[in-house]
Amino acid sequence: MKNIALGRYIPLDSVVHKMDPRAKIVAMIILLIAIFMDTGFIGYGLIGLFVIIAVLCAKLKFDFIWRAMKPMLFMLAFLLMINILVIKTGYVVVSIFGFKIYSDALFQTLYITIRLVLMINITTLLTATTKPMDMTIAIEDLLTPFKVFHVPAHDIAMMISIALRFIPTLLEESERIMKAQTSRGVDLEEGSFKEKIMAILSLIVPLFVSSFQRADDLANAMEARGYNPGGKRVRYKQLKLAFRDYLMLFVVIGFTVSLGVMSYIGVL
Amino acid sequence: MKMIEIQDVSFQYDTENVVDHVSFSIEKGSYTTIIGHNGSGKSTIAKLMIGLLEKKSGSIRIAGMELNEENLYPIRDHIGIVFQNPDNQFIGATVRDDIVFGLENHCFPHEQMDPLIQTYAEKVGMTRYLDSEPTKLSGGQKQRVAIAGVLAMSPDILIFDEATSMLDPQGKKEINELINEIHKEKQLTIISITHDIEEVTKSDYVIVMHQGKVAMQGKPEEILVKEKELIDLQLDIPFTLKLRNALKKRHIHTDMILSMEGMVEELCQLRSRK
Amino acid sequence: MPITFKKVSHEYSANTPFAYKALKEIDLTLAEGKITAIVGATGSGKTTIVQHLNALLLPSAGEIEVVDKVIKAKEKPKNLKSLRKQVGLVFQFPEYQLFEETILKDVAFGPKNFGVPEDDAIRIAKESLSMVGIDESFYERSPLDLSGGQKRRVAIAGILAMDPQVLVLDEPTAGLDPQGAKQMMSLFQMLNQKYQKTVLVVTHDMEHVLDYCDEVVVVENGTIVMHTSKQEFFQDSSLMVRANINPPAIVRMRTTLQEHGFDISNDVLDLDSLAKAIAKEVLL
Repeated sequence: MKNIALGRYIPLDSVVHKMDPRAKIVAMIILLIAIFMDTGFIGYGLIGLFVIIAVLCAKLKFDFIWRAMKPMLFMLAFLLMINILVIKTGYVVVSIFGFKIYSDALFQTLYITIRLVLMINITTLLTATTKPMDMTIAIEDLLTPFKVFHVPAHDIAMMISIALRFIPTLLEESERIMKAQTSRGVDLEEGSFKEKIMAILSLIVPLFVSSFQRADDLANAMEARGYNPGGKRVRYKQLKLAFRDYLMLFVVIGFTVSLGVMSYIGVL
Repeated sequence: MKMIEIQDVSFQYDTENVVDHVSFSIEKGSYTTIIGHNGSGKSTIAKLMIGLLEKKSGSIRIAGMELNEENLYPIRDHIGIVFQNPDNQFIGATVRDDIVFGLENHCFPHEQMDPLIQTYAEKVGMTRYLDSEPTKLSGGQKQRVAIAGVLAMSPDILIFDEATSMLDPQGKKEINELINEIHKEKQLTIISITHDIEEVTKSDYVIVMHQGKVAMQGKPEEILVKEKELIDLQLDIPFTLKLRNALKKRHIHTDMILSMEGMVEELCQLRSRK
Repeated sequence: MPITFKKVSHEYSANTPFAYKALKEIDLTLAEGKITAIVGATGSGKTTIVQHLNALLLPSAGEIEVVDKVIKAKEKPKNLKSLRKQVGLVFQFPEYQLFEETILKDVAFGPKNFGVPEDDAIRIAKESLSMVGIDESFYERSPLDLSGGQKRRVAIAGILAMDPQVLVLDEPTAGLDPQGAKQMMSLFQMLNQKYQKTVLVVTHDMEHVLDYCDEVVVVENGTIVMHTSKQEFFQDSSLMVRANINPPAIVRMRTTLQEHGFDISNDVLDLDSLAKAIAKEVLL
């Protein structure tokens, strides 16, 4: 559990860490758009270069980025298999026992791989340099304009932050329940299908019961401290855009627009 | 002056009377304990006082205001509560966020928040842990944070709903000391729902609940001597009372003193008169 | 057959930056047929010791003999199931492990896991429920409808239904009111006396240790600092103070009186003897 790199915050002291989370989220969205602009291999090369520079600025280790991508390897292998089986255009690259692998299959896979790798890198860059709580606040702020359309920005943010706060507590709880049921002879590895169903039930039901209990307690504690979901609130954590945030957004937007223009006029 | 006045209050879950025509009042600045076995209605009373549950009948007055739907939020400015489970009342991601949660809700000016966090973190001795996450803290530390969060809103009344019952002896001792310190220093009205008979002996007033009713109320010296009633209500008897009875069998008659130190003193006097 | 720990160490998250030694080469022999209290501060390693008894945790070094099994470090233990049947482990707040629709089914869950046929499991469940004082009228009710104390009894019945020789309880009275806690402790005493179960109980409550236990093990920083009989343990209150343990009321009273010059023997552990000793001093 502790070794999962994807989506994990890495506390470091870097300029990227210090940036306003709102600016980082917006930049991420813009870069994702750039990836989907279909700029060809040269375009992707440029985006890749951009990401590498960003990773360096964030003082993140490439080893960490690699670990974040590892869970995707399986998916990519799967994709390759499908493509090889389905795509029968282009020229034949190899022929094994009469089974032909076409160039377009490899090409397609490579293309999608590059896109996916870039996307994972960019999102990892965001999650690794932004505290989950700051992310929540940023989401709240970014959603605030949508209040006109009755998007409950604050409620969404509060729910996310409470979920984040309770993840470790619930993990601990599930470990405890699992041990307690193991002591009652539950065996998650062996046994018939019916036994396995029972085993899973014996974990899930108690987890639900205790989560409801916690939710009830938490609601009481929040209300007792004056929390009123519809009411006014003064938020302690205030975000402020600094010069570096504007600069970063300017660079990202400039980069994306020029990529778009170049691909439109056919330079790339 | 009466800080809390509860008159003929009833509350039901389904059809069962959980709180049944309860009346009592609590003096400003006093330390009141509420005892009773689990399911006697103690915690329900606390939730009624802070408006987490709505009474069926009767009247609740807090700091001179009648508790009703309109008054709910103004009344909650006067009253703070610390619950039993340290984990389930930790709302913020860090100690700092948790202390400030109530201030955010009460729309405190933003520039006052940081100084208030500092003051109350210091009061409960958690300054070093301001940026710690709850999983890194002990139960006692989490309860300290809860106390700081409630104190920061500067209430007049503090309710502790079995706030120490899930802590180890060390945590219990520390939190009890902290409560006493706050009581002395700030002249707050304290209501402690507890099973700890020694805490009761040190309080100003005790209310004994049984089956949703107030079975007895009065000063601890008056209540804790009623051995038969206490046993009938499934409650603990103070050790000094037990010893007094054992001494009586050996024809030694002592005055009713609840504290151990007091009893030792008395026995020393008896010995010197020998 | 006693339970023996030989130079047992346990390290959590070994080989990671979070590595933490919870037990340091402990030696411990727990006698059969007794009620032993395991006491010590939070984080001292009590729960870690307890979870070794039915191999939920395995030693990083050393070996443990439990009933007729030997668990060695770095060796995959065999017959885990039969060990878990012989050592019943009741977790803190065991009411949170109830999950079946009815109380009877929940208690029968354990034996069924160990391959007991349905009918026998139900019969055993009924016996176990009567041992903990839950009568027939409860059988078909949902475990979620019960009060806190009753839920806990049902959960303990669920462990007893496996018919363990050793019953291990991690803070079984936490969250109960004083009366409920005493009834719980009397239950363990009865199981020990009437059914000859070896009982191990992790507790913070010295009054319970005094009233219900035979032996005391004090754990500190992952080591056993003391293992003696109850009588010996409560003789010298300075030992308890050093281990940061609040002595029971009678020991505190005895000590205070002794400090005031009363001649009271350290063996005095019950009210009547204390009154007798005081009488000697006070009366002519």
